[in-house]
Amino acid sequence: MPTLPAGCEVLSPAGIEPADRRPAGRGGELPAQGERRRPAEATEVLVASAAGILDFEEFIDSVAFLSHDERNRLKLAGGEIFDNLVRHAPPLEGGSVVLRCARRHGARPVLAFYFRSPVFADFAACSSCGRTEGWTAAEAAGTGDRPRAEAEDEMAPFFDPLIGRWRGIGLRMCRNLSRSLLLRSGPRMDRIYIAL
Amino acid sequence: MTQLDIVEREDGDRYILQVAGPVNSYTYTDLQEKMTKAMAIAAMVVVDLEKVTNLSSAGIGVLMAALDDAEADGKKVVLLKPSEIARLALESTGFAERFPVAESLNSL
Repeated sequence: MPTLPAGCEVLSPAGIEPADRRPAGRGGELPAQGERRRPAEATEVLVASAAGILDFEEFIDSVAFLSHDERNRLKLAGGEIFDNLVRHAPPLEGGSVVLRCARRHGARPVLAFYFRSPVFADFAACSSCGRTEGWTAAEAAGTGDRPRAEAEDEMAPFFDPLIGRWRGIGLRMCRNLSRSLLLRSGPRMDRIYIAL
Repeated sequence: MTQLDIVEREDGDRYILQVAGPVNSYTYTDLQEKMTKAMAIAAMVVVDLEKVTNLSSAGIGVLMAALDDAEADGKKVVLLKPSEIARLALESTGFAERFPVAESLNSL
């Protein structure tokens, strides 16, 4: 049974209202007419293993408030993130990753990954998507201009003859499928946000 | 559908791979093995992506490597009826134009 990393709680990036405190579970739904409006959201805890990608896909398929196109984009971009976490970020505390998919009042959806990795801070610090400071509200809500990497093609896909396969395709997919991709490492947990 | 299902069949000098389910980091090796086998025996490999429910960078890497090999060997790789998510995945790489795409076997 997967567990939350120590000190991990579902937080919202600046600009998004505090997370709903409903128990974690699948299948967020849009509020019924007349119901107090709050961000639609769904959360899930996944085992950080190669086979966990199948559960990730199942989770995205279960989020009721996503459109067909949003579902496809999050499945593709989020799958790349999940796969990279499993491959490059271990050992993850608790052996798990917490997912939260939320939509704030008609804005584009944001998919967040919460985890704790001993190597992520260095990666986030050197990545063009990484941040050590807070977000702007527009970035957090996915409504602002898409932050452009200083060197957009710093990691253009290329065939690596040493390992006999293409590299860099996943990063390009993430950038082209999302409005923003932000990495944030903090003292209690690490986070990655994909805003469509 | 959580498992990848690949049906292989020969059709004259073409080798057809009917792919159904998710091609992701967990399942792509199955596609890789069958592509390698198909490339070794056929002049044209047709990859039917109509029932693909995900196409990750790992899967796209397999297709791109196969395309490179085909070009080097004077062979051909064609994608048949890519599903919506497969098209989106290919377009997101910026390499979509590299892949010959057909909407039916008869058009090949």
